[in-house]
Amino acid sequence: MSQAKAAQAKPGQATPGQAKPASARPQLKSVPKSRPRFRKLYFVSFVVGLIALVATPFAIVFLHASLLTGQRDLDNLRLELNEQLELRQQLLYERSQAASPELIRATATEVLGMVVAENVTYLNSSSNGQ
Amino acid sequence: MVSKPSKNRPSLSSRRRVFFLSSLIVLIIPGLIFYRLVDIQLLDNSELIARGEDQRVYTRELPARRGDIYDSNKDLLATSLIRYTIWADPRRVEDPWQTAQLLAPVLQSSAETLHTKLIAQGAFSYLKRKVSMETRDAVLALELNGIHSYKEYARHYPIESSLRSSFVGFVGSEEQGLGGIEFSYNDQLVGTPGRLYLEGDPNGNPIALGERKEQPALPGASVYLTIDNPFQFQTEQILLEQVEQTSSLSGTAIVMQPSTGRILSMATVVREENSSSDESVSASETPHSPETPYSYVVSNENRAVTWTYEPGSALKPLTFSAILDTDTATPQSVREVPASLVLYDSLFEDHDWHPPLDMSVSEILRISSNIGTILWSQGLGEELLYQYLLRFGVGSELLRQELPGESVGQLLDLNDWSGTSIATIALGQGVALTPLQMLNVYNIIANDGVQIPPQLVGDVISTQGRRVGPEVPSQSQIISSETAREVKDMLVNVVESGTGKNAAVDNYLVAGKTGTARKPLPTGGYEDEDGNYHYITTFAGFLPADNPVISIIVVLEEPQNSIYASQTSAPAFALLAREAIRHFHIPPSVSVAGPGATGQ
Repeated sequence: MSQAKAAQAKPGQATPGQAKPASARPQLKSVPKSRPRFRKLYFVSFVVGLIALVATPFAIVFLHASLLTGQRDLDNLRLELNEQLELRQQLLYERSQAASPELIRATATEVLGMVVAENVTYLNSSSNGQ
Repeated sequence: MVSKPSKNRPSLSSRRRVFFLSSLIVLIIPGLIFYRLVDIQLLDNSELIARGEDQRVYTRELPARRGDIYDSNKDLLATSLIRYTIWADPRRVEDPWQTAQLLAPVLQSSAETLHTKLIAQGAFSYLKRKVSMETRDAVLALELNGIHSYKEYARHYPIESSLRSSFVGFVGSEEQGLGGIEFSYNDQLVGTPGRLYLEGDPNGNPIALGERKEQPALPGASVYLTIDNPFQFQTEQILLEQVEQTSSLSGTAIVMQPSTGRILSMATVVREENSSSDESVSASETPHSPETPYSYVVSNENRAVTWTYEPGSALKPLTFSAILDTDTATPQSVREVPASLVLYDSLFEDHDWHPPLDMSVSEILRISSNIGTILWSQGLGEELLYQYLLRFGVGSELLRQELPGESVGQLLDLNDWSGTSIATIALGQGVALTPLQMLNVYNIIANDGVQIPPQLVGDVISTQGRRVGPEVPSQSQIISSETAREVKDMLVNVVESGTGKNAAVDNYLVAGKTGTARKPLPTGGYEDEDGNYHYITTFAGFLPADNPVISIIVVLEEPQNSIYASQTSAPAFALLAREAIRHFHIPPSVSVAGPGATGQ
């Protein structure tokens, strides 16, 4: 049983019954390799978890803000597109107005002082230019 | 030392009861409250959710843009542009009179009128509808309380001409079609309004992070007419000149593409009495000196489809189509034709007296002999003539309600025909057609006997670019192609050496027929109280006859320079034909044109 206890004693610790050495040399003890790793992992996990906990709301807020900004940009673009389409329609309307035979005739007669020809002469290439 | 229990003190059991009851009350009341909360929040929450949404979610209707109308060149004839409506919430206007004074110059309205609107009852009052963006900006720049604007569409017509009033039509204040294509194609032109769901504060201002759902509006489809606007203008101008030259009461002209049934132009000119007070003269009016009692104007009424008349001899090609198609005769069939004929006490005569002559069917049509036509139509019989009239579209709508107000014409039921009906109807009297129905007869002949129904709307195109109408009208064989070709040859003879010489166009084979008909008077009969007759002249035909590209009809009502179609409508036909040849680049007929000929 004592053997077992001795075996279970931590490395570097004096086993019961053993006298302490007189000199004050620091006692070195061996640490199981896995413990610090676990602790470090716990710590890292804790930190990461903490960061995640703190950062998640910020991230959500950031994502939301990004979405809103994107939506607003999209709305603005849609608005701009609609405005451009309306402008295009307005220009088409003005072009049709300007190209209407009625306006061309009115401009020719009233602004440019042109008169309507009494007879229309159609050219005929078979008449040798006569 | 044990004290005696006081008589006043409640016993243990009663205290327990009080405790129990108190506990019960303490438990029941929160329990009931909790139950009610659960009930309100979870079990029966639909009504409250709806009420909550009503209070914070606003629905706005997004107006749908009405579709455009184009001519065949894809030039705009009607479109919808963004405009703004200025409105007031009278409850929030602080100083109505000062507000009215500030708004008056911007809205170009009187301050009194605006003031009346600003003190109106209720939360909404129109100040001015459909103003420009500049006006809207100027109004909003005043920063007046209770003055708002919203966006809406307003219908605009780039071309203010007869085309607009005759075909395109117009819309009401709420953009609903009320006339012309705007009316008949309203269902396609009008779009589907969208909806915008917004979460807002009690004042209706949207909440930045609130809910927002948009169901976009779907614009209406666009309608493409078959009318060629520049050619329509030329048609109007030529008709205007011809009606004036012949001093007619009115004139109607239609130009079509017989192979497709597309109507390229359709014009009506009328004579209007000048009123001394009316100083305005439109651009489409012919210039007149102030002392002229009337002027000629391009009419807003589309008589080509709404007005019916007795076409006279212009209907004879239909009669002879029936005669040839039923093998009653051939173009070469000859019979003796007297100059006059008495039928049931009615005297029928040819235009020029002649002794009894042996005439072929072709000759009868060439000189437009009434007696020859009557004799052959008697051989055909009433029933067959009636059947052919129906088959050629007399008495039925041709445009399938594309234009409101289209007339079907007048054709007596066969049972109501008198003894002389076969004679008069064969000559184009006693039967009334619209000019479009009359031209349709010639189109059938031009198309080798196939009826291709006229169409005014070529395409209806959705916003996705898909063709959604109109349905392609079915074609039908009315007469055999052989008959049609025979009648076509006979009609070419009419123009080359018959009554239609003035309709000839150099280098082009023209097929056509004159029609000089007595005009029935509103009081009945044809003869007025002075013993005079009034006439309507027609020339209808197509060219090039060997490969028809266009068909034209010109109808003049009561021309004064001559009563004959050969001297009134036929020259107008030739002028229109030349313009159409130039405009549509129609090549000359191979059989008559010399090398390098390009037309007149």
